[in-house]
Amino acid sequence: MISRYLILLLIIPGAFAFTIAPSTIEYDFVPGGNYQGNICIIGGEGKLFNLELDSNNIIDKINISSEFIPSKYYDCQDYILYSNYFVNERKEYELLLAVKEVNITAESESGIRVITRIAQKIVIDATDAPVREDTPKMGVSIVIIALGIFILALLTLSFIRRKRN
Amino acid sequence: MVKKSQKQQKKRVETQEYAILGILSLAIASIFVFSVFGFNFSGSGLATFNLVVDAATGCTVDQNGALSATGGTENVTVTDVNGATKDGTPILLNNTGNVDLDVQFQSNKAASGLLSGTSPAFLWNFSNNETSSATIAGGFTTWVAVSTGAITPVTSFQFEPATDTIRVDFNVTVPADEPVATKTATITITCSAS
Repeated sequence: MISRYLILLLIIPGAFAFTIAPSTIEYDFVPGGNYQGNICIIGGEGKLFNLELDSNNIIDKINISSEFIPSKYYDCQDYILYSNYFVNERKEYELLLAVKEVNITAESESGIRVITRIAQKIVIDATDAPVREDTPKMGVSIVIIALGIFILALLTLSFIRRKRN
Repeated sequence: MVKKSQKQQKKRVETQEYAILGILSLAIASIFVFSVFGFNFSGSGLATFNLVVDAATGCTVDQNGALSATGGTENVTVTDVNGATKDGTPILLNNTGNVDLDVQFQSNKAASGLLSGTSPAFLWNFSNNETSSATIAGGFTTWVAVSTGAITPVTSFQFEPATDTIRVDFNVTVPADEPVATKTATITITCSAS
């Protein structure tokens, strides 16, 4: 009986003590923009870390290696974020780029496992970003302006031709 | 005959001119509208980089939660199949960086996923281990069921040495009809700057 709950309460933390920097990065949203940043691990020399961007609906993809072994006490990895062209809602988006030490022994243990992740907060100000509902409006604008330019060009062309004749 | 051919050729040239004009107009209009909306098609890194707060984020589990048959604390409680309770030690989380944190918790299993017997319980609560270390959201200071959705019960978790430790207590009830098996659940703690 006792062993049943003893196993259950084996709470295993992923033991580590490292920090990351910078803690927060802020960007202005640019439709289809690229955002360069970096994440530095302090005190994780020689250890294997896993990096993952939490799910969100503003970043299309991130160019970063999912695994990182710092070669020195303060070691950094650069990344590039690629944003979508439209957002669902105009607001300030907060994303987490989380770093987790890969501890194979702890992760294969049974019981209640505790995995600690330390995340860089990426704040993207999309308060003026185009929302998906803007698409028809943009289409209509393009057609109207194109038609105006076309008519203007035709008039200019016919004027030049008349002058020549 | 020659006149007709010349007329047809002239008409063909005009049609081509109109087509080119139309395409150019559409291209100019598109560039104009997209630039008004701030679109970036160049593929170069042109997004504005406003600010880097050069602070270090860090947190670490200072103490395992564990069953302790002789322990006097009441932080990890197990109710066994006979209804007897055993005390243990809580998880202590320490802010090791130099910036205040928000702490997110997520379990991959709730009580019913962890234990298959009748009316299992898998509960947790959150508190300041050192006074005023963090703001604990209402509802999480008492026993609340562990859920699989991400929650952020701890905010403004301070880094100053005297106020930088929070505590997570667990309460597990093993049902009397729980089959013997090794159980596993994973709780992910994510610390990020407030």
